[in-house]
Amino acid sequence: MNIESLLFDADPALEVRIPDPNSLDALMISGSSTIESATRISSTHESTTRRVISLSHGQVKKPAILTVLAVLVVTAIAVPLAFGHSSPPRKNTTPSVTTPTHGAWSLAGYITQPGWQASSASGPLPTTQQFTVQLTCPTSSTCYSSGTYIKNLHENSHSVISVTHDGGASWQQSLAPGDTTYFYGFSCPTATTCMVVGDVPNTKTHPSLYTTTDGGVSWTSLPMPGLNELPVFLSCASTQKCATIGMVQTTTAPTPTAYFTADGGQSWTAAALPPSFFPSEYAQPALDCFSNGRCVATGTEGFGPNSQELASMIYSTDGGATWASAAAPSMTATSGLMSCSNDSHCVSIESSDDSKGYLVASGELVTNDGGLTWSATPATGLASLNASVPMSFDSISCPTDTQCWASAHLIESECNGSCPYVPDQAVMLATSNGGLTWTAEPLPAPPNASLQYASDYPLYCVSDTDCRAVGTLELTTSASDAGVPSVEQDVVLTLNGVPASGVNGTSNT
Amino acid sequence: MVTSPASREAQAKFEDLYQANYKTIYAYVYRRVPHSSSDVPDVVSEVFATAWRRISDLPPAPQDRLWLFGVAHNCLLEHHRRWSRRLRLLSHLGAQPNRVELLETAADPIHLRVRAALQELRPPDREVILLVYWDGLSHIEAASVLGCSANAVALRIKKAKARLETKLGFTSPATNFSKDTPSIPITSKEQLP
Repeated sequence: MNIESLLFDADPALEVRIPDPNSLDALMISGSSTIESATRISSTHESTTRRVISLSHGQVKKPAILTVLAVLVVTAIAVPLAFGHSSPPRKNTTPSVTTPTHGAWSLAGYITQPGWQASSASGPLPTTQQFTVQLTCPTSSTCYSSGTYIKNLHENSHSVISVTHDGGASWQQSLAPGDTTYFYGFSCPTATTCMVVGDVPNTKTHPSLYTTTDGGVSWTSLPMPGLNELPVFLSCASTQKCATIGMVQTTTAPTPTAYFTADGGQSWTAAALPPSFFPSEYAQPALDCFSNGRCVATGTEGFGPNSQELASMIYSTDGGATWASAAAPSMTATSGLMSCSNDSHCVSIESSDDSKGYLVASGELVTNDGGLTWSATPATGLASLNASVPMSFDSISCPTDTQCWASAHLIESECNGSCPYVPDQAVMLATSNGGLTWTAEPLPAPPNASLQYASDYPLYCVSDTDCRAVGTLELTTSASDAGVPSVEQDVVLTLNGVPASGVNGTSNT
Repeated sequence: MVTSPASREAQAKFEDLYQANYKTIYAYVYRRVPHSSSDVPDVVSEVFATAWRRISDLPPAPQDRLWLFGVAHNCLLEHHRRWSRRLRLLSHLGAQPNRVELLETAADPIHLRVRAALQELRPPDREVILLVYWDGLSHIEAASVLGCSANAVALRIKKAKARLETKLGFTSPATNFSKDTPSIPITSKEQLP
């Protein structure tokens, strides 16, 4: 047996039956041509797709998947086909933002493996991808991030925690379990103590609570309750007191669950959530707990296609031991992003499907009494900056009662079936009046004209003058069309709270 | 339905492309996302939807096949980004449906060790090995996909095979490989989906 035959025989595709091409599928891709059908399909496929993603995969039946796929591909090509196979006209949707009014963002460094490393504005670009999902900064100098590291397309991704103790100038990889652990709930009550929930997907094992008490130098893990439960959100008011909200997959449907601990995760006690409450689908932030026992969380009423699709706010006054529904106006929502500046004041941006199925802001809820009552704020500026391209929110951080930052992106890549060639467009929004009005703020200039910010998520503010976000650089459409090799690079953005009048967010080495 | 001759011609062109390359592209994607095989049809659909959208830009055969490989590479990157960014709560909870049919032949431990050894190669070396040995491209075709010369492909393959032989416990290229050679530990992530 030689190496050539070994290589041939080791092909994993030889161990599965690759489906035959289906002429009907090809016809569906190329066969729908009328504007009417394209529009009709377009208005349904996104919401259908989202439903399927939202459903437990165990509940999704093959016909449903095929239907969604069929609708997806038909929609992807039907509109361009109607215009004679030419690519749809691409509008310049770059937000027309030139002058920062809430402080200037700068590009602080590039994220490479094994940790985040600051570098010059010209590189390195990039041979690896790290998709940073969560970010929290307990102090101005210390931030922790969790993300997924994909070395290349041939390996399983794995999750990593990185930490900086010098305000972001240098970063170190702090925790990398090395298996397929995926990080969910993430909370760092002090600069030295941080907790994160890790779970290996699709295994009937206990999720683990990873804890560091030495600033990320070392981590210990403790099993958490439940074999197939997932504490999605975690908030620790102190090094000892934490609350979680998550869910467990039952034989029929996912069921929300909640736990709390008063001993740093050594033991957990189950808590009852209000009926029909379901946790937000966003990665963060949706749960916040404070040292006086106050916890606030955002979610939705029910779950699934038959749910009411309304925002649901809950609160606790005993550290998550008991939960109650808040009094909140009825607001359409399939997911919510929430940030609390203190134990009284919180802002939640609610999002729901628009007429075409894209997840866009549906409104804003504000509480000033610790989550007992919420009011709908007639916010302006949450709608898309470009009416033809939906804008979806990714993260929010409110360092004060009046100041909030929110990261969002214009959904370019999902709108015309050209996903590999049309990156999303990152948007950074700010308010200084408690969310009444939001303005788009400039991002730093990309390192070169071939790149643009596809996202500026996640986002975390220590104060109104000190924020960080993790942006993702991707090729512009024109660069991609010109054959420039694909780029996907996470970078660290920092906010200098002193407004730089007239400066259009220049790169900072 | 589309009725113009140009449209019919485009449809026929696409149908040919689809029929000729579907299984190739499916396998290409599957080899690179075996841990989430339920996502493979989604990615493959994106590849061909993009191909249809850009049917007028499609190079003639046989370059069209290589062009599809490039599109598939971009779609895989996009897939990884979205998979990571989205919470995808429930996909992590329940067992995902297996949408490819596993053949009765179980994964041979030797093959698992070869795959583990491949994981340890430098990414450029691994990619050229996969393109040639798994995806069935010639050196010239792999060079076209990778944007390098055929000589570079040949050189990479030679070096990569030498590294593989070392990792797999070959004492020399002529040495037979023993199934019992305990050189590469098999971890759970190398298991087939």
